[in-house]
Amino acid sequence: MGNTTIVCGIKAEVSEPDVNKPHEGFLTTNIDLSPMCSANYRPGPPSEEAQVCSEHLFRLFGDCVDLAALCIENGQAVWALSADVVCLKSDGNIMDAAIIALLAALEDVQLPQACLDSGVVSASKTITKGLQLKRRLFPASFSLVDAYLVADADDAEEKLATGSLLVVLDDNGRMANIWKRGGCMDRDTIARCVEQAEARQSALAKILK
Amino acid sequence: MDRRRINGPQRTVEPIYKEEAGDPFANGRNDSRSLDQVRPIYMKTGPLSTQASLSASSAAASGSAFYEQGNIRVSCAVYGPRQGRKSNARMGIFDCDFRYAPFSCSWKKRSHIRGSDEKEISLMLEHAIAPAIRLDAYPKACIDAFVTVIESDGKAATIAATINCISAALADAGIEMYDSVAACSMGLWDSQWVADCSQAEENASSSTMVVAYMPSADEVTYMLQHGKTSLDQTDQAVQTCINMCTRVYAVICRGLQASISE
Repeated sequence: MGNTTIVCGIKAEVSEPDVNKPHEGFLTTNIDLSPMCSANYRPGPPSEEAQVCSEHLFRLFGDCVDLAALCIENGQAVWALSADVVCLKSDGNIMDAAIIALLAALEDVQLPQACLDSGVVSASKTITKGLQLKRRLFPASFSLVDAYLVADADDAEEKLATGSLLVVLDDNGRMANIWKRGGCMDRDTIARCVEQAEARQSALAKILK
Repeated sequence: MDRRRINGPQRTVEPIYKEEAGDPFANGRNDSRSLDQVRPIYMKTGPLSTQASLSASSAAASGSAFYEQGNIRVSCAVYGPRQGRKSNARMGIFDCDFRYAPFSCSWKKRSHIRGSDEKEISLMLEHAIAPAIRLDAYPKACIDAFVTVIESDGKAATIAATINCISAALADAGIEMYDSVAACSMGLWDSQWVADCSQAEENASSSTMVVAYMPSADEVTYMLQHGKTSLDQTDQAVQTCINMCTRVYAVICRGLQASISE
């Protein structure tokens, strides 16, 4: 998106399920904001911003994937998908780009057909099955710079913004998530943002077809 | 249990794949290359999208490059020259930070914490590229290169691709260099040296060799050999690698020229 470049990769491995949820697999989402993408980030463990982004992505996509479909053998073996979002270049609005990348990656997943026999999971590389998502998410971010509402702010605009709003809609146009940070926004502004988010949703849905 | 990340289950394993990995050299190479042919290279420096931003962000990298060689995809960003750690240093410092993306390697899912092999490769890259940079022109400064391997296909080939990528990014950043460093890798299979091995070919080979070379200065900056070879074989490999590096160098130079003329 503009100068923001994000890559998302999903790796599937096998593990034992959680004792309390023996028929559910795992999906973990992590975003990696390294010093490579922008001088704003220092090397080392994930910054607060990265942790907040990861947590938000996890909450958004947690109920998008049918975890029961990741089950290989009830109570014994399940798929654990680890989705890693790597930011190559950051020029603002990482959340939008990360959500779109993660959605596209999840739709592209091809899980090998696996079966468990005598304690060992064997899988076939040739017979694969895609992942059926319960719903698809389409984001739209807005920033409030002084009195102006800016859609899809880049890095310079984000630094000047006093508030920001992330609207995530699903493919039926229903609201999946609203996340408002920073200063005050009146309700008309928010309603306008949601309208624009709907327009963005149809545009994105066409691109991601 | 990494408290700063979303954690999945503690222990995960790869399933055992039913299909046997066949001999990669059985009927010529998998992608029908000849034994001394390097995979096709695609390179792009500067911003990846064609849309130029009106205001370049102050936090943006000085130079960046995206490099593809077959299935190997590497992205590099160079920051600098910027303020170094020692204020009385007569020469600049070149630092390289190498990391694999967690989904990049086919052989296992990498953890987010930097492993020792990543630290080793960071040092290798510094040794390979620092001789090419005019560090005495940047006293008290430090030049940082951050590399992420998005997809890896052959460990030695990835290191070679990374060196090429960093060379391109440094040129894009306008850092003064004696020459661009071009690198190439080979694997020894059945007493024959095979150029640019993919992961399957590398698993089948008994030795690997990576050579980083500066063609204009006719100097080898880095050489790394793993495995068992005889002295003659190593000699032969170095010569062949140097020839291939010259060809890769031509591709890098053409790529850089194309990005300037855009």
